[in-house]
Amino acid sequence: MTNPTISTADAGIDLVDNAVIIANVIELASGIVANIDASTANGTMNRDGMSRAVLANLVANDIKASLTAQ
Amino acid sequence: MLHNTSIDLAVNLAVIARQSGVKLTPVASTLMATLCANVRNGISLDQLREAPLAASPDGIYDYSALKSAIQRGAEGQKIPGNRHVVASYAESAHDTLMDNYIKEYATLVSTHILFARSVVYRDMQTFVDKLQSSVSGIRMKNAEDLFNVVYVRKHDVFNSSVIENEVYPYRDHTCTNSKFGFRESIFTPEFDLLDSLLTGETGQDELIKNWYASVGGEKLLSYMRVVDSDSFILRLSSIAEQMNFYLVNFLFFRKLALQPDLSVGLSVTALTGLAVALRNANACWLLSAMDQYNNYVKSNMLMFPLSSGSLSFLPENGGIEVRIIEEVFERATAEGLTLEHIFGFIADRGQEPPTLDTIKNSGDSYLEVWRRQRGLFSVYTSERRQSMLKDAILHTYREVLSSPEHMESMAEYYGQNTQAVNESVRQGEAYLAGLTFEEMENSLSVALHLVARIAYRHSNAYDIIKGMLEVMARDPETEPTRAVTVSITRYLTKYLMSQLVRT
Repeated sequence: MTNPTISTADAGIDLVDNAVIIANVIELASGIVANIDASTANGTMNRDGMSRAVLANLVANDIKASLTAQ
Repeated sequence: MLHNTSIDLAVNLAVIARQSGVKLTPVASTLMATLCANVRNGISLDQLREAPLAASPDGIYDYSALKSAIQRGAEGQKIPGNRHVVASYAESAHDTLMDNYIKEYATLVSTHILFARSVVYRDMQTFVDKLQSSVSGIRMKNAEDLFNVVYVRKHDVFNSSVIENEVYPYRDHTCTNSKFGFRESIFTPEFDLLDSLLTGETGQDELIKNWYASVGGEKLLSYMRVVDSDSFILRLSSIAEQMNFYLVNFLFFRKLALQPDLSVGLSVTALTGLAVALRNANACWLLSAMDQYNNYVKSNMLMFPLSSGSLSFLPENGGIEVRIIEEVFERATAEGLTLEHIFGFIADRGQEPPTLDTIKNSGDSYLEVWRRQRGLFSVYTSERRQSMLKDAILHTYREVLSSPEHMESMAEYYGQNTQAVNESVRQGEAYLAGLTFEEMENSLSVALHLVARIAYRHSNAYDIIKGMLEVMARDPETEPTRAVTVSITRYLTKYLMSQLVRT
């Protein structure tokens, strides 16, 4: 069996556009949460031990749920 | 700049979107539109075409070229250093925009969280506490509470020697009136009722003392204070009470006739004559009452006639007093009958007291009557409880809305305009009208909707607190700080996704 090769163009412009959009949603949402003032409500909201990568995954989960929702 | 994690996750999700046939487009003139345009403009499709993506043998594609392209599209210019110039980085338009908005939004969201927690959640908690306090006093009756069951058994004193020797002789007598107009003057603080009843015979007096204790000195004293005994007797609810009434009077005047030592303004002769007359009258009436009681037992009557009323579901009604004749009821239970049979009979027939045979011969039909009544009562109490709970919720809601703390919070948005509060009440009533009883019982959920969603409708506290409560409901061990983080992340994602059109 021959390994298929594809170009990004073959994959479709939609793939590029969607990836750019989603990357921005993840970056912005996780960035905001990670930068919320640790002094809020006497420490109610802080970084909570969650790294930005973990927050990004949290955002990605919600996006995935949104994308696959009927 | 976009972090690698963001890009990796985004490409994976973009593949899922493609598989789901979803295309996302930013709404024009939104932050998302600007950010995406900045990155997209930096990606050259021609360049991408020259970088074919190798597929792995297991069919998982390698999107590293695409990821690199997105990375390059977002990032600024790296300026290499040399011996004279330090390496530096010139921000891209995307970098500047992203960094600024992250800071601005973080500050804004901090304020929202603070407001949600310290103002809105505070009012929610006040609502829940007040509501629970007001409904905790509401106790709905069980169907059995409609009856106040009292078991009556003739005390042994009524079979004692003083009764046999001094009361039974009055059979076939015509009982006379028994008024004693100066009773009140004898009830001095030193008056000892029990002592004034004793006969001096040890065995007899033990029975009198036991009876006195079982009925209660206060009640027996109240029988002695009666001036108009005829109308009082009519108010006594059972033959058993009448027996107690006549016995205490009989014993008192019996002893007074023997020891006429009361200072009531009469000569000894006159006092003795009066005491004898009243002793005789009370003995006669006592015998009459005992005969009636014995007839009830002989004819297997399970209870005395109901003193008043009939079965009612009204909670204001303290319950029908049902005086069960214990001697007969013991025979009934031996035959497999229960109180529920009697309840069914009362529900079906009203005040007429049943005999053991009446109920026994009807099989379980009265039991069925009672089961149906219980079912009806259950529906009644459920509807009533729902109505009471709804009233309590509305009352509590109005209390919270008019509290100084809430008024102060609202004044920041609406000034002293009471229209905002009126609108909160109107929307609250509409919300409650659509709730089931089970939904109303969830006070925290009701508080979330009434306080966070309706009263603070100008804020986004509802979304923040709702998300937080959902997280904590799924895992009660979750720390509130973690729940807020998850909730706010979800809220922001939803907000940013709302700037996209999905086709």
